[in-house]
Amino acid sequence: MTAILKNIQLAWLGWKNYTDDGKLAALLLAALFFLWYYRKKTEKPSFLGYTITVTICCIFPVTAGLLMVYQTQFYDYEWIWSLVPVTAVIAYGATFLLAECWNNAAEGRGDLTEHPGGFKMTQWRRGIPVTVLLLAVIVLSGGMGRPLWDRKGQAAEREQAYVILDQIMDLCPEGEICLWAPREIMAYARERDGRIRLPYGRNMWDISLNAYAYDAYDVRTVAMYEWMEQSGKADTIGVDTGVSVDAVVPVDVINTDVISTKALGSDTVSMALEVCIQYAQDAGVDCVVLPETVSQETIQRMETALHTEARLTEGYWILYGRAD
Amino acid sequence: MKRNIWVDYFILGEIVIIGLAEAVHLATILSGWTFQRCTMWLLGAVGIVCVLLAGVLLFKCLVMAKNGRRQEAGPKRVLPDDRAEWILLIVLAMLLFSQLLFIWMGQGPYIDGDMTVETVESFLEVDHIYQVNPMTGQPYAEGIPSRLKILCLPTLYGSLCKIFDISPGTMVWMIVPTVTLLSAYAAFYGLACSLFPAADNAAASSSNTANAACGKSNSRTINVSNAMESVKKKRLCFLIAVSVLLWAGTYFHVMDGFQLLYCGWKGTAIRNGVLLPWLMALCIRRKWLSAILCILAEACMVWTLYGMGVCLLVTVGMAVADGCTREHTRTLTDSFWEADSEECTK
Repeated sequence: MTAILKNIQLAWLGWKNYTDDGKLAALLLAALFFLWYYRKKTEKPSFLGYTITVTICCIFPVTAGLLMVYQTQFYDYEWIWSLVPVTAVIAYGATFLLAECWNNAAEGRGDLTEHPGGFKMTQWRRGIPVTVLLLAVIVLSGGMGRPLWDRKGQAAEREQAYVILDQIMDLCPEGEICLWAPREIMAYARERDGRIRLPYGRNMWDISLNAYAYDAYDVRTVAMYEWMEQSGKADTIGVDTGVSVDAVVPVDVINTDVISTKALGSDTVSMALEVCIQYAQDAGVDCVVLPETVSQETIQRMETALHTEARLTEGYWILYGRAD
Repeated sequence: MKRNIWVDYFILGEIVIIGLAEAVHLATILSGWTFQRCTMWLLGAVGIVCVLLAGVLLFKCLVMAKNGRRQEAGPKRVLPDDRAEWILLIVLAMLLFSQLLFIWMGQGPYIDGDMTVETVESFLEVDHIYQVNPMTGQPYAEGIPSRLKILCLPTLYGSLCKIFDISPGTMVWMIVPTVTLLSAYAAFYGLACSLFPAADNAAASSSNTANAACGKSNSRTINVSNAMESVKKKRLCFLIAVSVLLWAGTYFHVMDGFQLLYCGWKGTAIRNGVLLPWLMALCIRRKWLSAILCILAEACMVWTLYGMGVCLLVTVGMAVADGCTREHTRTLTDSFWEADSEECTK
């Protein structure tokens, strides 16, 4: 019972979410009303009947909840709208309306299906305003290619990551590399080159990807991710305040796995550098990429641990060295 | 309109390729073949189907030649001779081209919750299917859900990458969405043909002509021709409306526009953009057997978890709606044909 009620609640919230960003759902309802009015002329009662029924089922929370059960509750509410031919019905309604307006009224008397010669150019006085109006309504109801995420930013980030990844692969052209890097590099590593292995992948921060495997990350891997994400930020703070992430980790807690960096005034979790390097080496990491903002001390300690020299390129420190 | 049109053969061909990919994919998983071998099998299977198809076509041509059958229809008009039809055609072409440009020159696809490229990269790199986790490149510790494992699209894309020597990124983010978008237009055209059937309008026109002046064959021919032109314009207008709606529908990740323009390689995009419009067209024409193919194709492409998928529910829904309205449709059609024949008898 609780599950059903939860489903109904999700369906209600889902409907609100579905109609928040764009108004094609409203346009669908308008098209359905219009087609219902002209139902005797459409001669496709099964198509119209099906669409009306399924649309009502998708809007009404109880039936929407049942449809969510049908799609095994794996997908969110909005996916039940796949059942409704939204695009087709709106286009069907729009075609009927335009055919009506562009048709010769004297000849056709608005009876679209039974009279030939719809879309007569001579009817432009009525046709053009209605066409423009309809186009405006559709444009205002939708997004017109406006993305709902920072598409340009992502493209730039990808481009920069590819440059760095290519340089990394040039370090070891014949073999595989296990890379540990900030999120903005690791996100594109596997799509760029299948030879690059990672201690953790995009599913560390894009939780929905975890559905595709039973595997889960252990505490050490999560700690590595946390450290890497905090490293650049913490060191940036360190530059400003004279306190680095390494400085806030006392020497006697090097062996402690996780240290809360209360000293930085945040609840973020940071790791002792050497502990993290040990985890990375255990995971087989032989290439580390760090943001330019990390402190010089961190770089030196990383170089010592990996027995290699860091080189700065494209705003990142690259440390490549086979783990012992 | 029970007769198949080119759209049916086109999408049917795509479903056959998906079916072959699924068969080879399953065989590879069960037999532990290398991906190279999997690709060769897929290539061979598609080749055999093509040869069989060519053989059937040749046999049909030979039979037709032997029987001395000729096409009854007059010379087919390739280009429209009506100004309005030209305008509609140009507008549609421009909209389609703008969308293709958007896919080709776009600043990147929508990859949240998707790992197709990584999966294809893994297949090609390891030369086996699902041996390593695509996210990390490390061997699986616990494995993946079996329902997910049987989906064939990554194998199909990987095989295409191997055959044509194209990078997974280009194949998955550019070539496949292009094919999906064109297939979607084909599917919507099929739906337009079902919603605005030529036979009905021609018949309607004939009926009106018969009512007006039965026996005047010239007038009748002209009206049938006009009716056909009207139907064509309506279909073009429908496709233009679909095209504008695809642009408008880019604001939400489940909209057809978003699916086709930002992530056309996904199984859900192919289902929503190609399979469902075609399925609607099939259901309107009561071609239930072909509808089953859509259900199977969805099962091969989309992770429905352990559910039955959208296509099945749509088919059942349309069948029920058809059953409920069939009497109404039959009455309309019968009365229409009766009126037509009565007038002609007079």
